[in-house]
Amino acid sequence: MKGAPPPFLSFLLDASGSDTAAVLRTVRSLSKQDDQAWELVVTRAAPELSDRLADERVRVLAESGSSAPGASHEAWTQARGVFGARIDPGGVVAPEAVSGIRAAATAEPETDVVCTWEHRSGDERRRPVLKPRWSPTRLCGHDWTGRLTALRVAVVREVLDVGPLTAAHEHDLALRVVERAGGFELVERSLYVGAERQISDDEWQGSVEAVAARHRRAGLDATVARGPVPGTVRSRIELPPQLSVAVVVPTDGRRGLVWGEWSRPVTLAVRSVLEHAGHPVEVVVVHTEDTPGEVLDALRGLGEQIRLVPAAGPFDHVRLANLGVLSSAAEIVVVVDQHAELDSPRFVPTLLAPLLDGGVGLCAPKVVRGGAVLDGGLVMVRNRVTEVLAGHPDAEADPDGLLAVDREVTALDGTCLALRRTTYVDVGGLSPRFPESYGLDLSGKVARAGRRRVWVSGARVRLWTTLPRLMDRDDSERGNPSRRWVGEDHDPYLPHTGVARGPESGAGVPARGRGQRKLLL
Amino acid sequence: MDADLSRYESEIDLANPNGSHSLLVALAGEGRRVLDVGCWTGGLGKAFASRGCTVTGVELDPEAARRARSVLSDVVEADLEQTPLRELFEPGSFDVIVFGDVLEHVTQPGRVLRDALDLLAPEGRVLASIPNVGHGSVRLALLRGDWQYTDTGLLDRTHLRFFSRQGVLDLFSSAGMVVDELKATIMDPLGGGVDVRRGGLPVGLVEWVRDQPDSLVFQYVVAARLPRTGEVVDNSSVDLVPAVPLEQARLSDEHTERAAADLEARHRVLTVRDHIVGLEAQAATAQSRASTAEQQLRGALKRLDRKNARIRELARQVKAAAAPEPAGDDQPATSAVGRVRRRLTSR
Repeated sequence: MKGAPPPFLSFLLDASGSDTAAVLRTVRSLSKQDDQAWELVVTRAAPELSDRLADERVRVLAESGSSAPGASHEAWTQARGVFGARIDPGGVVAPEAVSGIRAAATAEPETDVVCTWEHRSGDERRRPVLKPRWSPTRLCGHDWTGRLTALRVAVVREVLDVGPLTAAHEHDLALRVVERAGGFELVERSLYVGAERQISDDEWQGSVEAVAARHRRAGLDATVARGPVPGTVRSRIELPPQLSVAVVVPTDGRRGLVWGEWSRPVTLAVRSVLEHAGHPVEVVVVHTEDTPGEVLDALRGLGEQIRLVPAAGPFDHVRLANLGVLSSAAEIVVVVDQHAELDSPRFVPTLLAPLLDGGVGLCAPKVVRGGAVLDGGLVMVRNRVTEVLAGHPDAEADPDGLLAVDREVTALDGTCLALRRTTYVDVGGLSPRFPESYGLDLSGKVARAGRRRVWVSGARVRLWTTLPRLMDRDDSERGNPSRRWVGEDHDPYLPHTGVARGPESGAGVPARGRGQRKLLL
Repeated sequence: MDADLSRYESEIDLANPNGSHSLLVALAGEGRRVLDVGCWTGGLGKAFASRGCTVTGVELDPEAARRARSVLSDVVEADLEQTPLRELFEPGSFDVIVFGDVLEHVTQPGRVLRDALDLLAPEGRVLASIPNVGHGSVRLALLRGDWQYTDTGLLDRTHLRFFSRQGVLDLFSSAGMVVDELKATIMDPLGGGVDVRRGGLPVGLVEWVRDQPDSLVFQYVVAARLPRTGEVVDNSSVDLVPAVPLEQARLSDEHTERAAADLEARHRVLTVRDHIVGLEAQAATAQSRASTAEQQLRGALKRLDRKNARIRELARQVKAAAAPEPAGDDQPATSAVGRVRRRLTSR
């Protein structure tokens, strides 16, 4: 290409079925790039379109197959850039797209994936779609990458050899590349304006197949099906049978209101563990010495796998949980609040499946009370914590599918927490300094240890307490996690919960649900 | 008493709820036709008889059989390995067939069980007590590398087969029998069974063994029957009922104290680790905040410098404007001074 620099970024455009004007609009936006090191690879273009694409940086592939996955395969094979990014006919690429992606990609030489924010409404004055920073677990639930997502071409070519792409070829490719990617960067600016993309039935099924293939490659025994929201995928992953799991339930045998009657919630909690675990578990009930004898007798009668561990002193969930974990020898520990009732089948395999990925350090289920979701994970913005989608009806899917997929979050509430014993011990267990907000603190410690926190949509816990939770607590609670942990200007996993920084960032959109509140203290 | 015969003699204490004999007698019920296989000198049979049962014995040892005849209705001398039980009695002759610590002494316990089934009356049951090779004392002894046969007990030198809970259930499943009840006598790993050399065991090991499933089970006591019409034999989810609460039989000893002290120490370490991780995080957070504050300070100082420079420039202009002007040209100078003063005031 005489006069033009070698391409750093190959834009890949499938022109099938699109009108010429739309493609030309996209090409015009490319010609305005402030970094000219790009090329456009067009597949399945009509002959009249080929004639009008005169730019020397535009290549129209004559033989690019009849299917979208085939065309994608051909485009990636022919791309000459260091990175490649798919765009759509009619999409408008921001002038600083190439330079922005180049800057992000070259900042860390290991980077193989660069993701950016985008406008999908076709109108850049409206709210952009903000993407999470690094969320591979969520990628198994739906394809959140969108436009512009630049993949290192050399890595793509490696993973193309794995097998033919499914109908959801972009999702498939993203899953394959993420498995091998050395690093991921997010450009927190909208660099693309495109139309809202509807997921076809074929693509949805293609996502199911792509995720199933991903699990096979990872050596997981999994069954994959469509999720409740179009485009979402649900995985049923089997745990290795030999994986040892201990469920720790601290209790003082207190009374509580369950289904309108006064009872001992801990017996319900333990019974629900036995009923719904779906995997062999050792149940360690750590109890205060003044726990009523009839409660202990009732617990003993529930099953052989229940081990009662007495602990001196007054009830302290954190201390008793720590003692319970140290008393057990299981590889995985699940700490359950005595007011919690496990309420979904195969609870343990569902909750623990993300932990089979070594990068995940902590998991927690969906917690519901009175038919409403208490939170869909916690976001942290500077020194404020927000419960995501709090109050959303449990029976209904949210339009964005956030409650339908397992996904990385900044922090998790402490009603039920699952992690590897080694992680638990390495980070110092639950902190006695935060007797109420230990879940938030543990999340911070796990994050500091370089491990991801995952909110698990398919595992559900019903909470039987009206005690104040995270956001309702009085500021006078002893200990303030914000001394240890402080969030960024926007949450890395749900960035639309950020604070206002100006129009370019696209942030400033208030959190859905109950809105931002001050961090508990 | 003959020393050899005294080997399996023991006082039948039906008041002891944690004994296999009392469990077997309770499971047999009253007024039943009982076949006591391996009846020895008739001690257990006598206990059945005391509850109104008619007891027939089968015994290999002639001298033991001779003595048993004095207390049981009938005793047949036979070797179970050679003569199937069905050849000794009429079909349906018994309501209860008891194998009290017998099946582990034969090479093919499954075949022995199957041979007995024809003898059961409708709704009849087989009762058996079988020692648990997974008892905590065996586990601890094996960890020391010890496997010492003894005259009686878990490692009786005449045992030919060894059973865990799963082994017991598999045995009855393979004989085509449904296990109705599974009970267990309970004994602490250091309370009997196999002798364990206790010195030098790692801290927490004994307590860990005590915590393991069935580690306190000394003997399994099974009640099984033939499947009813259409019933499938599935013994995979039979609940085990301990004869006494486990915590009642579990010893609290120096191992318990050492384990508790160790747990407390590990808990302290965990808490200290949390403290250290927290301090590191606090330091990082404080550093981040300090860095932000420093940036803000630098920005503020820059702004201040700019404003100072502007003020100096304006002051210079004021000074220049205030200098004497040529006569008749007073009005413009006053106007310039006023303008500069207004700008200074506004800042």
